[in-house]
Amino acid sequence: MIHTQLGVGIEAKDLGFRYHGHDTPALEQVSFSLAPGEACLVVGSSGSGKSTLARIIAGLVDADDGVVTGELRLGGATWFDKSAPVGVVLQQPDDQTILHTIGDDIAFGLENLGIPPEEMSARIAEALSWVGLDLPINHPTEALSGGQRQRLALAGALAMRPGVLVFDEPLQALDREGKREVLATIEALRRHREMTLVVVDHEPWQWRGLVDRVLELDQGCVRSCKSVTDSPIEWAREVNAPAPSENASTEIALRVESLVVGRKGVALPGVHDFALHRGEILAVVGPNGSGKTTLALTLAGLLPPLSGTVGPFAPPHSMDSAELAKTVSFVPQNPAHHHLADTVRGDVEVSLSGSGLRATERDSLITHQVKKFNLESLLARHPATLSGGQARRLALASATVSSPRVLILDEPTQSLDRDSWNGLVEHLKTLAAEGVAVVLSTHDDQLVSALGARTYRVAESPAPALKHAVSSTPGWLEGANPLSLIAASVAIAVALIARVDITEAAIALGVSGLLLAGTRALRSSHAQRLAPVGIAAVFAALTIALYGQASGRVLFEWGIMRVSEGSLDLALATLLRVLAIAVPAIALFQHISPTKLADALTTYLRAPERFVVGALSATRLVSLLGVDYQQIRATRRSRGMGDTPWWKRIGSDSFSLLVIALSRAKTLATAMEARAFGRSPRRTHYRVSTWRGIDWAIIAIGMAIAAVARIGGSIW
Amino acid sequence: MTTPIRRTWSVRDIVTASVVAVASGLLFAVWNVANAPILDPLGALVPGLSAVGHGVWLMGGLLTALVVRRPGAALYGELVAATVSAVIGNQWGVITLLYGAVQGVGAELVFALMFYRAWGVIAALAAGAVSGAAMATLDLVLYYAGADTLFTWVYAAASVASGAIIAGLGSNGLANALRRAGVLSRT
Repeated sequence: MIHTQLGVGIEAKDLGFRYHGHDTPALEQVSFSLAPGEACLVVGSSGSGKSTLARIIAGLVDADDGVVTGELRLGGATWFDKSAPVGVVLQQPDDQTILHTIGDDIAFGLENLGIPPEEMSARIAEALSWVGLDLPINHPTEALSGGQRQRLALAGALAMRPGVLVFDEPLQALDREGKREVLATIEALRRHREMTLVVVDHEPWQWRGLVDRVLELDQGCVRSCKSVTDSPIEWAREVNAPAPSENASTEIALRVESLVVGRKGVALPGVHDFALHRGEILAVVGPNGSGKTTLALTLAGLLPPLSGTVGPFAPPHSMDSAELAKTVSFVPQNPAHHHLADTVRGDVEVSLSGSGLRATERDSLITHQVKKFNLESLLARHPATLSGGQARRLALASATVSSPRVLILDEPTQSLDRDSWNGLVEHLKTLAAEGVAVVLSTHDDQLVSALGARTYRVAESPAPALKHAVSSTPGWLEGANPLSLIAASVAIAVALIARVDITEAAIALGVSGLLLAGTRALRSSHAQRLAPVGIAAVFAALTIALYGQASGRVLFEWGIMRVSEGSLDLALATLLRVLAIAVPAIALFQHISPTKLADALTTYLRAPERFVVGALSATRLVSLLGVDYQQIRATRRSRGMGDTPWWKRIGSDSFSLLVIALSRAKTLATAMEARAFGRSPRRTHYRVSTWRGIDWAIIAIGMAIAAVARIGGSIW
Repeated sequence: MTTPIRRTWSVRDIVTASVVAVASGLLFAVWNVANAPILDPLGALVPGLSAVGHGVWLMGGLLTALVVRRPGAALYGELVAATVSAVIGNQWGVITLLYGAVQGVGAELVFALMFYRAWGVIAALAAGAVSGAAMATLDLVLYYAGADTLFTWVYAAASVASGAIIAGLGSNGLANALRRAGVLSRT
């Protein structure tokens, strides 16, 4: 089915916008017009208002966020009625994926628009073919590469058949392969369809040949809006030929011999042998998934080498954290993983905490460092509030204040605008001139040539096998509605909670335990989850044994503790009851997936959609925390803070994780709004929550167990 | 902040609240396992004193409410966190959901009585205390029906204090720290 997509024109007249709480407007007197089907590139430095303009066109920034003046029309309609959907693709691939499978994710926007469910499958298939994603619709979004994720976001937008597509720096976070994929997709779309495009990007040269017009913004005002041929912007980034390093040292700063890297004992292909002199810059290049990051982490002493050595110093992986910080420093891809303190100054200072310097020396070192990295005006700011370029400068300042011999950077130019990019190049050159050996893993060819770096290519490795959730032998509870599983557990719990009775609890525990174990719904692999329950049950029983109402013979008395025959009976009943309630719940709840639970809640219990869907999308976001945690641990070790015992760092680590999750939430919310979430009160449903015979059976069994226990309890 | 006071939930509020709530659910799951070895020795010495750590289980509601400051946030946050805790698997099974609802309503009541205008430290302390009282009531009825009077009173007092201090003060501090970190600002 070919659907002709009709682009709509955009007309802005004296458009202005000022965010609440800001003194200066983000946009002022912006006027331009785009014909239907025209593609416009919006350029300008950071703070020029280009992202704000894109978000206003997309309806993501509105009168709730600030004061709008002037006029904006999309396809003739005023912007406020938001009738023409605008598709949006944002920068961060991780944070704009909304749901757990690609079909669900694309359907999300259709559900919000109230599209009839029977139309959805066709639209999803169509959108997937437009972006060239040849994957089954139940493919987990977790397993997608960055480029695939951006194409999924594009498919999600296209399925909504928007009149305008807005791209807000869609290539920034991608490697070369990912960028190529996305650009080729957009090019193919432009060939077959008439649709209006608005592209915001720091790097205009990537879009040459794809856009018709360039709108140049400067401090919120239009500087020029011309056709591509007349536009004064530069289409290529100037790269100054690097001066050959004058004082090339002969002293070896880093030597790698027969090094094999990998994770969890699984080796990546390639044996690494190279050496780096002081002041040299080495760029590790290669496609995504080739293990550039694994190599970088191994050099930084954050992963153990599988074989071979990293020197000429002691093996970095066995150094303690304080010693490592003075030898090799590491700056991760996402600077948020690097920050340790709640102010910029504090963050630089943390790196010196193990240095043994006196306070005055420390202060002068910090003053020098913040000046060098141009952070003086930001000293009291929280690191999480910094822009991408500022955060990167802070990470560099903190990583180098302890004068490491080797500095390792993972994708240092990701999401930097042009000015910050130039600044970073200068800083890296300065560091090298001071004798630091620099290793960077990067996709950025221009960075490599601007630095005059030696390149070291890592071979492509076979794609890692997809980890699929181990769903060994689908049991009879597979496919059950989550509500029936919950209801069955409720039936048992209600029967037991009313009375404290040994026989009743024992019967319930015995019958449900036998039933679950007999049908293999409960097996030895659940032991890990059952163990804490067992411990808790014992402790609860112990409390009652010691402090329960005493009756019968007193067996033991000490201070206020009194164990009696009566309290022992109560304790046993408590133990059995905790187990009888918890054991079936653990076995049954294994079969509840967040997605199925959310669907059942909205279908059968009429739970408020916006909240249920919000919670569902949050479960996906929170599942990223494990990866974030590993990153945080690695960088803390590299910054000399890795030797802190867990009970001292658990608080600050958890807080950092929450901050990272909430900044992801910001993007996710924007991505959800861009897919019309919350716009219409009537949502339709792509997935159908089913209620089958087995669900009645599950409830009946739960009630039967409860009844048997109750009757048994009253007989004996 | 000069943002006008709003009562309605934006998409951003919902996503932020959900992330805080799900993260609190993970905290619950950790505490489900960790609390017994830490607190039960205390409870063995002084009957009922083990409840001093139970305020941790009230943070889903308190933290969510103090972060997004919207009507219903306390109930939503505590319910979602309890659901996450139950689905991961714990010793209370399905009853966790009941606890989530009751504790959430406890905190929500206090914010509602203040017309959803007070979100400061006083409101946090009060909401934590009431949520703690709700939790203690359930505990004493469902799990410690066999306990003597001394235990009952110590347990109730410890729950309320823990709710006010750990959940109330703690969430208040945490919410302020998040605000300082800039992750809650609109732009």
